[in-house]
Amino acid sequence: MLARIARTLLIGVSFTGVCACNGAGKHTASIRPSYDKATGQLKELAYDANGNGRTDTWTEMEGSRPLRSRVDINEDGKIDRWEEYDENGGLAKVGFSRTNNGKPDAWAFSGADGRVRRIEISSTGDSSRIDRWESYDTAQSGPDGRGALVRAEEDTNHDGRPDKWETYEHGILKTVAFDEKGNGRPTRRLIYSSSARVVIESDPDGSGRFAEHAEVR
Amino acid sequence: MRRLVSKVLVTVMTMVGAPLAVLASPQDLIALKGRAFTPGLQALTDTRVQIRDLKTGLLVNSTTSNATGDFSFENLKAGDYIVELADASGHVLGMSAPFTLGTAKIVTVSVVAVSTGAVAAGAGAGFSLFGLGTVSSVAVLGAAGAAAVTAVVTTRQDASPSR
Repeated sequence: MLARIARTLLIGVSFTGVCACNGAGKHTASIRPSYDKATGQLKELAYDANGNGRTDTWTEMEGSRPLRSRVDINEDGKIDRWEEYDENGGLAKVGFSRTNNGKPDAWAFSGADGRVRRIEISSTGDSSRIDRWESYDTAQSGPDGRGALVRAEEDTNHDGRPDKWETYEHGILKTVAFDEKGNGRPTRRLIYSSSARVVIESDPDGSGRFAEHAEVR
Repeated sequence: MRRLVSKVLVTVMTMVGAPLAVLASPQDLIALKGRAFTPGLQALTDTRVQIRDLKTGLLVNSTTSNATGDFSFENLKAGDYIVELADASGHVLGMSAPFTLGTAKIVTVSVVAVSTGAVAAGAGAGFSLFGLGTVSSVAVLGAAGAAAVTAVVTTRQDASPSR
């Protein structure tokens, strides 16, 4: 994070909006502030992040504190990245639209190192109804900077409780367990091995003690 | 004569109907249709799709998703199943929720690949944006009054998202 900030561009923003250049002077970006008419408090900054003359980032402000940003990365008129900030102005989570419909349906959360530790996904596209939670190990490098997927929970029947649990090793599915009785506990588990062998176990009473049921290829 | 014709007709109709009756067995007429998706909800094409009996753990059948990610299975028996997506090595890339095939003759299911690797590297995987530092992030550091200067820190797009 510090390394990224070190490569930052410090921009002066005047009351009426200004132009800013990066260190190499490659582009000029304008920032347009909006203020609350009653209080004079800064409400929003509209910003041309890539300096092509089009506003592509809107940051909602509470005075000097940023609350959230909406970013149209590909400038197709639809927001495709949502950023929310913590009390210190740090990036708390980033939302994405997997279907590019202008609505966030997945949120990524980072750890102190700035790498993704958790992703929450709404399969229905309603970001208020998350139904899949993925956990990443940042010590293992993923293909796009996030850690390796190690665990996931999913609410497949949308009753508000996880009913499917997955574990991964080196990014490969190792086990998956299902709640077949709707009581919030896994009752059947499949264990996959690299040789395409599958062990299927059952725990009908959900006691947590799986009995081996079958081993198949 | 009319009785004879009637008997012949009944016999013929029975013989013709017999194999149809076998085909019409409810157990043999359940079809499963579905679509495979990448983690970014793009069509997952040319990928192995397999259906597994959840009670026995046995693979029942397998096929390959087509150019639009669609796949289908025919003549499935009633039971509890999951549909898996697998890579060439047999590693499971994602799976459906468990589902029960029963009275419905045609069932549809969607499967989203979760695992990274070959799928994530493919076109349209979509989640490459999840690297938090890969696109511009704006954080306003402070302001000093309504007419004052506000300092804005902008992180630039990195070539390497892991940095």
